[in-house]
Amino acid sequence: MAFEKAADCRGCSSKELADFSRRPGDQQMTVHFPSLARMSLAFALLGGVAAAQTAPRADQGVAKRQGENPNANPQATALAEFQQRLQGYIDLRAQLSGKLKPLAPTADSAELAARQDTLAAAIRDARKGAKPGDMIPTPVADQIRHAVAEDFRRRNPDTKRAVFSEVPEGVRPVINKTIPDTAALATVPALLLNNLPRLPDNLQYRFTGRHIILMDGDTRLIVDYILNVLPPH
Amino acid sequence: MPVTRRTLLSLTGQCLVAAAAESLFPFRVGAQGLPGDHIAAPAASALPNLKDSIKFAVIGDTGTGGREQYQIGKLLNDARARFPYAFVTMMGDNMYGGQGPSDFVKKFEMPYKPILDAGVNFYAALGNHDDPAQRFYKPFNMDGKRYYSFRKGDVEFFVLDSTYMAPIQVSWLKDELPKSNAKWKIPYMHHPIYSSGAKHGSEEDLRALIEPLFRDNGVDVVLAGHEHFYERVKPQKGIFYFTEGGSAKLREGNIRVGSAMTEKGFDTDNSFMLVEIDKDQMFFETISRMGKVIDSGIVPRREVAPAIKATN
Repeated sequence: MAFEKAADCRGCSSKELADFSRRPGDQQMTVHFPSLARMSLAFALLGGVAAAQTAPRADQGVAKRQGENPNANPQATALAEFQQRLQGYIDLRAQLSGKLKPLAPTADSAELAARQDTLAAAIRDARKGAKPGDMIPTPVADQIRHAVAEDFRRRNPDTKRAVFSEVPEGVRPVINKTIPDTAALATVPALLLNNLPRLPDNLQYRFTGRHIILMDGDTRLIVDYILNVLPPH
Repeated sequence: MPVTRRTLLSLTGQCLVAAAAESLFPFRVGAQGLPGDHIAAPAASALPNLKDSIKFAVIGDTGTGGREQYQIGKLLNDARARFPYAFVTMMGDNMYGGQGPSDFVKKFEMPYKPILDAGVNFYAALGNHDDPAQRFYKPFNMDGKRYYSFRKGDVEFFVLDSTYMAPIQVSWLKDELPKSNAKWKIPYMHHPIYSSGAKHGSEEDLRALIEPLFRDNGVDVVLAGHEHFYERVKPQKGIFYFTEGGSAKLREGNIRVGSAMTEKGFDTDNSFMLVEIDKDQMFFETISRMGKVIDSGIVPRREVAPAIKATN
């Protein structure tokens, strides 16, 4: 539960936080949630851009935090680390976008494509050293695996089939690669999204093959990924 | 006998304009001249075409750039002469395959050119084949948003991104639906939450999350696409669900035979819908690629408790 709660904080108003926290069985955690959310946000704000550009290995950051406070909840610490890295990415993106023509409504599809490509190239360049796990800390990746496994365990064959029928095959996840626009984007089941750490609105979890990718929704860039999360299908 | 919503659906069904009309008003679309290109405009309409009503068209799963899309585009344009709809709602999968600049031309701007030139606005939802950046393409009128609402007279449309229904979007809908004081609230999205499609079927996750919001906030009609056919589902918890995902693609014979959900299904050709809302009634007509009216009827608005008034 701490996993969901700490992740819920990003970009949510206090009302949203309260809504999300009203799930059955969550009462005990709800008491501590707002303060946990504020703590996570504080971590995120302190983090800045650097995390997205040269993030240390996931486990290093988490271990360091735990070393600083041996009583810290390891899940919450990992999620705070995750939020910090996401914020770093968003800040980096904003910083790069500020120097480019903005992604804003235009009737010129060529212009739109050019702006998308330019932003993607700038992000790719700024994150050229990025490695798998730089954005999603290992403990968070493990929790995501667990959430997906639980989700598919409860699904009946029909809903599993419906989910898998939309998953594109053959797109190998590689950091900083763009998902080809010819590939459909697998619809991520809404109830599963409810149980994954929240993301800023222009970052998305998507499936490809058996993998989960963290995709930039404006550029279709693969920001990070976790391999072999979905059950074989 | 009291008039119920069901009896009000006086459907003309598989009716009106058949082979005779086709031979009277034939024309050709495209250069191929292939069999099946003869298309006729419907000779009669179930739409009252009232002066101050809200008139719009519904298309879904359109972006193939293929012959069928152009044929539906032609019919859609021709329909304006007898039914001057003001805007078109798109149920997603606005672009299949490549989404480069030439694709926007081939798969959207050309098939609907006369309609666009006439100043008719399109309002798009995102489908699973769509690049989310389509929301920045001005002719789709999404204003850079994956999910948004727009209002036309007494009707407010809530356009959802069903391919990625993150909690923040559910939260948005939860806030926006009760705030609206529109007489008619019509959500639309790519995935149908009720469907008899053999390929995909009902989107049950979405249903669990958003159906209660529809039910509690005076929604009468929900539109969707994704399944490449037309289906009108029997009212579910008082709400009418339409799937129009066959405006270019077609998954022939894909409606499950004997589905208890289907009130009317059409999976043997492409189609689009024309809709007219006047006061407490919604009139609709679904037209096939051959110009036949394959479904029509009237949906009366439910009497619901007044929505909470907007605070701003």
